[in-house]
Amino acid sequence: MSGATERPDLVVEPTIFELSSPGRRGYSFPPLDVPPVDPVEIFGEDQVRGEAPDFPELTEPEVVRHFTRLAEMNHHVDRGFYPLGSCTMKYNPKVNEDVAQLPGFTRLHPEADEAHSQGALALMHNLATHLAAISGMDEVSLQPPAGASGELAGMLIVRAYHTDRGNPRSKVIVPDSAHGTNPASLTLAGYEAVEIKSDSSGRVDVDELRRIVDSETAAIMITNPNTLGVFESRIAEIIEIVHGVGGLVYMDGANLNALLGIVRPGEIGFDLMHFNLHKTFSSPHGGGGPGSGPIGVTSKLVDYLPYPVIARDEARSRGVEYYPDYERPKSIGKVHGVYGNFLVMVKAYAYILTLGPGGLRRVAENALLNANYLQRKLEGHYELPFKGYCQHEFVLSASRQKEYGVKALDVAKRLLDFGVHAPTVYFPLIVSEALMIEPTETESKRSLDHFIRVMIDIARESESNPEIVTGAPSRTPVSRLDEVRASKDLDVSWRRR
Amino acid sequence: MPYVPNTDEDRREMLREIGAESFDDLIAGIPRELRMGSDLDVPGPLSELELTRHMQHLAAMNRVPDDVISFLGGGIYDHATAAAVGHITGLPHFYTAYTPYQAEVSQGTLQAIYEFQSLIARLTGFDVANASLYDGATAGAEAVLMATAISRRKKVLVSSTANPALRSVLKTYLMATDLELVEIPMDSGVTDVAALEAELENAGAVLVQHPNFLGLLEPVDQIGAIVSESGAPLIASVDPVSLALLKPPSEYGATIAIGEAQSLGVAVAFGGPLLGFIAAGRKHARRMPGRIIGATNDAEGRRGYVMTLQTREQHIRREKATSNICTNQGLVALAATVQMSLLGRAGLVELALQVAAKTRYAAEQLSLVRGIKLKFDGAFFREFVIELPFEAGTAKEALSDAGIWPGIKCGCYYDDMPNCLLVSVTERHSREDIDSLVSGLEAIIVSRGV
Amino acid sequence: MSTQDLRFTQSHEWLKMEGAEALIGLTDYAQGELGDIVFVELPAVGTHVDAGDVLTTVESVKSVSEIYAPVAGEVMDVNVALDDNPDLINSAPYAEGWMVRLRVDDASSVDSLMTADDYEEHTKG
Repeated sequence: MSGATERPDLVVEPTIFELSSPGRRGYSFPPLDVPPVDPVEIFGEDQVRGEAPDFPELTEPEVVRHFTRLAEMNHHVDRGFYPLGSCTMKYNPKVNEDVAQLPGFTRLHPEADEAHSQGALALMHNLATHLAAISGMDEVSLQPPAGASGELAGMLIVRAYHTDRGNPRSKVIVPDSAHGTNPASLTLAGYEAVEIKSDSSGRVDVDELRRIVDSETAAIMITNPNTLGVFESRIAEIIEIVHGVGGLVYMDGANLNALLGIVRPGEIGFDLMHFNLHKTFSSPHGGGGPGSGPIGVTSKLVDYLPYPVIARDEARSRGVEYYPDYERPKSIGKVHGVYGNFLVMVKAYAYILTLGPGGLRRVAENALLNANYLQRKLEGHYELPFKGYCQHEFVLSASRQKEYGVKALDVAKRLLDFGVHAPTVYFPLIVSEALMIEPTETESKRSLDHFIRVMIDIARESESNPEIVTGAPSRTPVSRLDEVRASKDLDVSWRRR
Repeated sequence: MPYVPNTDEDRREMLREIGAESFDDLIAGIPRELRMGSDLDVPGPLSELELTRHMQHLAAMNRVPDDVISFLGGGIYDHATAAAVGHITGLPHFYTAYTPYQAEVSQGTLQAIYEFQSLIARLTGFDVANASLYDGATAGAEAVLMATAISRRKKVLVSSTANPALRSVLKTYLMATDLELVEIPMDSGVTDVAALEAELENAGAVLVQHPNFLGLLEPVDQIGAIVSESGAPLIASVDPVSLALLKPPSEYGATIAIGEAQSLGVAVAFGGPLLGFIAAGRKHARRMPGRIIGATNDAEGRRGYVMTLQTREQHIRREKATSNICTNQGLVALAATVQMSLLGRAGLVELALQVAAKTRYAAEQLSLVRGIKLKFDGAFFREFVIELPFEAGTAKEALSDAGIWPGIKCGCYYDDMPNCLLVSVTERHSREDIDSLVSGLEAIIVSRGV
Repeated sequence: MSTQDLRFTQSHEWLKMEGAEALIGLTDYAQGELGDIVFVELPAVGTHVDAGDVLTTVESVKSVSEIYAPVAGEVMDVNVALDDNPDLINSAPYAEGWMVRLRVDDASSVDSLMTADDYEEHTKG
């Protein structure tokens, strides 16, 4: 079968620059009602630009059509299954989008007086309070604009805590199954990453941990459930060992979806954690942001939280009950220019209220149920390196398929031909040919059954007709792209050729 | 449960297939003593109708332009956004998609970001821009880390006329590094060039904002010349709207340009999400933080786009990555791309000229009021500082009742400017809006008998 | 070409003595494992390295590999042709794809490196 003939006609959309024609424009202004100015006169010759930036020139219908055609080349959650492991691609409720567009939120300037922004401040305070209740942490700062930013804030808090006790310490332990942001963030906070191997069950090797901790251990960063979809069942021991040498225990909240209403990390000994509002709390991923990565801590660390924390004091002043609290002399400071990604917080807050306590618990239950159902149905067709019930996600290996020359990447690409997004591939690094699958609770059994059928078909194709799989995708707008060329002949901004 | 499709019957059947007696079997790996003993202490559940009412109530507690005439700016500006922008960013194809890891089914997101990068490159005069950063403040911190990686020197000079939010975030980012942060004082509202020159020896990065936080144009030619000579990379923090009229950073010796692009099609939204950008010359592409999209071709020769230079990033290089950043501000960058495309070359220039004209009109009218003077003499764009005969907060409070917010109190950021207000004007302000500000302030001054 | 006059390391560098200086590169086996090389970061001329120090980094599209100095010495020259054509490492690993010319501190330090036959055994294991 030929890939090219199956592709729809409308595939290569010119760049916006190629669609430009001189003299067109897509937006108009009211007539200027004050005297005009001459830039050379008011700014001086030496400050002024010779020629205006070479922006494209198009009318509104042309611009809208261009971006709509681009949109149609994307896979997205509203269209189909998106089982990217550790990314929690759940459905994004529409009402959340609508309430985040209320002008009372979108047009509110952050420099407006506290008395004039009580609604927004109350929302932030309440969201932080709910996140604390869900996680068992004592206080939450909503400042970090993304998960990685939350990790950086967390590691700086660890540093500030130890510095206050006389020695910042030098090492932070991370499991070999950790996300790459963990070692990158702790490095930025001045720490050295010490990698700890996973044991044969995919969990932190507790004996090894006992050997490597010492008085220079500032913290351990743990994703729980971890990226293999396994709950760290010896977490109590792990926490005890690290606390035993005076270290702190950080939880990467990327997989919090599995724990909602089941385990509160703060209650079982974690000292601090970040949340991903764009994973657990349903705010959309937006094709790669904006996210939001609040950081929560237990009581001994509250002084160090990034400021401002949104505080409440009914007696503060006339018309002001909620306010941004900057009076935190031990705070690590700001990690975002203002309050973080406010509109993302609006959506997460709406989500929590819509679900309530019972609904949040059912999120976790159904995320686990869906993952275990998929794992059970697929383990006969793909290698399952870590056996037993999984949590919200699991990792398969395409090692059996590799015998026929089919790699995890090929399986991923072939899935695209069936209107399903690929799982996360080649991660975690400790599983060869990894396919990491997270269905989330918002998929129906029908949608899971479709995925199972497709995966089994691909396993069969891998044996009977591997060329179809290694040559995939053939039904997408473009076929496999030349990444070597992209890297060698760097073309990252358009020029007329 | 509107968002969970499994029925009780589905659950029973799935558990049977799994071979589990009950849900409890699935969480057998979680020791009992670690599980919660009570329900979550959060409110809800709310129906869609109840939720909407509650959110409308919260939104109505905030006061926004249309209720008031606001001259608040300071890095975040209330420009009009073209109607089409929201319709494009509201397409689920864009907002419900993830990071474009599978390029073959993400060409829409990838090409849109490539176009964003191209537009930022054209504004700044550089070859390479990334897919965006969280905001202008974190872009400043990332740029300093990038610049010192290029220069391999430890001293970081930042002008005190740069946005206080940027300086604050920079302090946080540098607190655990071996970099030394030195603030350069101001002279007449702009960077004190003599003080800068005195600190340049062995400097590893210099950050200057132009136009600066107080709205004033910096002597960038002079700064560019002395910084270039010192060998330190110059980071120019720039306002993209101003670049319709002002010389791009590439022309005055900057090595890196950064800034906040919220002013191009993004709501003020209580300060987030915002849109940071960073651009530099091609030879520094591998030092750049964050995601970069590149053009290439597919197996059959069609043009297509991929994430490129990924070896810089944390998911591959882990602790040796150029930055810990993972996500960008994808959807926000899309909004700005659509807005810039609609404005086009002529629209961008007209926007900047309207802002310049209205700001100038406002400054002139205010300076005619007895008791008000312009704090600084230099040329300015989009905002300016006025000095009142009394503490600026007094004027703010008094005018608030009349529905006018005259600007930001400079005293919050600079101790020696207690009587000053930073007044910001956009194309949204009509002449009448500006005239009401002028008459409002005049009335207060008169009533106080100053 | 013959690799009999080259010496090798466990981490897949090769070294060829030319008087008191040595050419250093990446082995054919290693380039095959890495795939298309898209970028090489070369050290500054004049840098002194000890055996085992990172000498260069070599990048494919999705991996970064560090290349270590097989012996101690001073960097006398680097192969600037790799800036524009990093794929020389793929096409001619033992010739045009060389990376660094090192003035070796102690010529006898080369003796402890693997011979071509040892290395062949090593890559089979």
